[in-house]
Amino acid sequence: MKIVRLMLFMVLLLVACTHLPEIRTREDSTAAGRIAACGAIFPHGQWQLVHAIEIFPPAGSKQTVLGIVQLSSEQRTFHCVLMTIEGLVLFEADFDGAVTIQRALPPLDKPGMAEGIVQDISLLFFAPEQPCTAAGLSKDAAWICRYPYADQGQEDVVLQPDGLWEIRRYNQSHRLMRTIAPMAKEDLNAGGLPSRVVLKAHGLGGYELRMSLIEAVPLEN
Amino acid sequence: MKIQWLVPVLALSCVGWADSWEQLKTTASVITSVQAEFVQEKHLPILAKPLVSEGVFYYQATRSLRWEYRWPVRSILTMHDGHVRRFVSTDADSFHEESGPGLEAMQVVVEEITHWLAGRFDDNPMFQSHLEPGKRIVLVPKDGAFQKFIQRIVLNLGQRPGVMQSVTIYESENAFTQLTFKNTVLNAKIEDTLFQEIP
Repeated sequence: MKIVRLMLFMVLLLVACTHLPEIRTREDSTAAGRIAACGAIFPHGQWQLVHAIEIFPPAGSKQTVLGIVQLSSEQRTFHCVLMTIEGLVLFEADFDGAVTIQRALPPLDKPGMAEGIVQDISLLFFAPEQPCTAAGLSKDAAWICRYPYADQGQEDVVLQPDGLWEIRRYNQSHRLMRTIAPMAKEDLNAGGLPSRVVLKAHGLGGYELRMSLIEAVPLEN
Repeated sequence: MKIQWLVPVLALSCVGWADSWEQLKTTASVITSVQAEFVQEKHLPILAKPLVSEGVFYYQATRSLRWEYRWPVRSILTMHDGHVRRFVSTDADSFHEESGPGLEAMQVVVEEITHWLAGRFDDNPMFQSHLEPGKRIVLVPKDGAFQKFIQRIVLNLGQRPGVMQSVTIYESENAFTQLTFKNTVLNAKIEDTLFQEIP
């Protein structure tokens, strides 16, 4: 019973302590350009992207799969496939606002798994749907663009002074749920798509995805 | 003059090596090892162009296999004493053993490949086997649930006895994986360690 109370207290403490990073709002002549730079970290147009994805699950050993996503940034739609290196398709789904699963082999057929995959892909490749509501400098001189979500959560796009960037997704309690960032400065390139990126899911059941870009093919309309 | 005779004699020796299951088994019975390079093309309706991987495989009779991808992701599947293991390298040098999704399915596939290389195309009761003209073998899963994942497998045998030209695994009519083999070497000595040790 004591353990349950202690855990409950810790959960409440965690919730009580969460808050969004403070932004010192700036409305000078550079602000509009910097807000545009926040949106520029996401791919624009139609792309077919192939990644090698190292999955570090909350328990068990690392697994590597290939991920293919065909996306349209304007329509905010994509088709995604996860498969083994040998070519066995484990998961295939469409997203056009709603998720349609074409194929899901165990363990990717668990309830909520498809929605989780789709949310991660959306966070990785789509600019936030709502316009930026706050932008400015953080305490450590990073530029932050803040975007609201329909679920009362927030997304911060953080541009570091050294050229690196980070996406931070908070839930409605301002708890950090996901972070996405290039693994190193060398992974950034002129085309905008980083060659290596890491997605971290925080909290209980957290996991990490390390994604290495194999191929980026622009698609015709 | 002798060479002029040699060509038709060699051609005749290749005729009919794949006319019956028995002939296939007899031909394969003298094969102790196979090694070949392969190109794998993954075709999916959504793909603007097929996803291409390249690698090499080594087989030693009767049940040892090393299936190695060298590009775009370095990965090695080994089977020795019926035990399948997968190793993946995502950095410059080191390989790490992985389990996870698909390995159980790959155990079935790898086991099946060793059957084919041993000329035992009609041994697996899970498949209905058809030997067709043109050195073509079609394997169709008998189980309806299995057919959801693999519709059929088509194997094209080469002109040279004991050599496989390509394997195509159909998940549906327009979603398939095609493996094309080249530079096949038969009966060369392969060290046992190749199936047990990963560099």
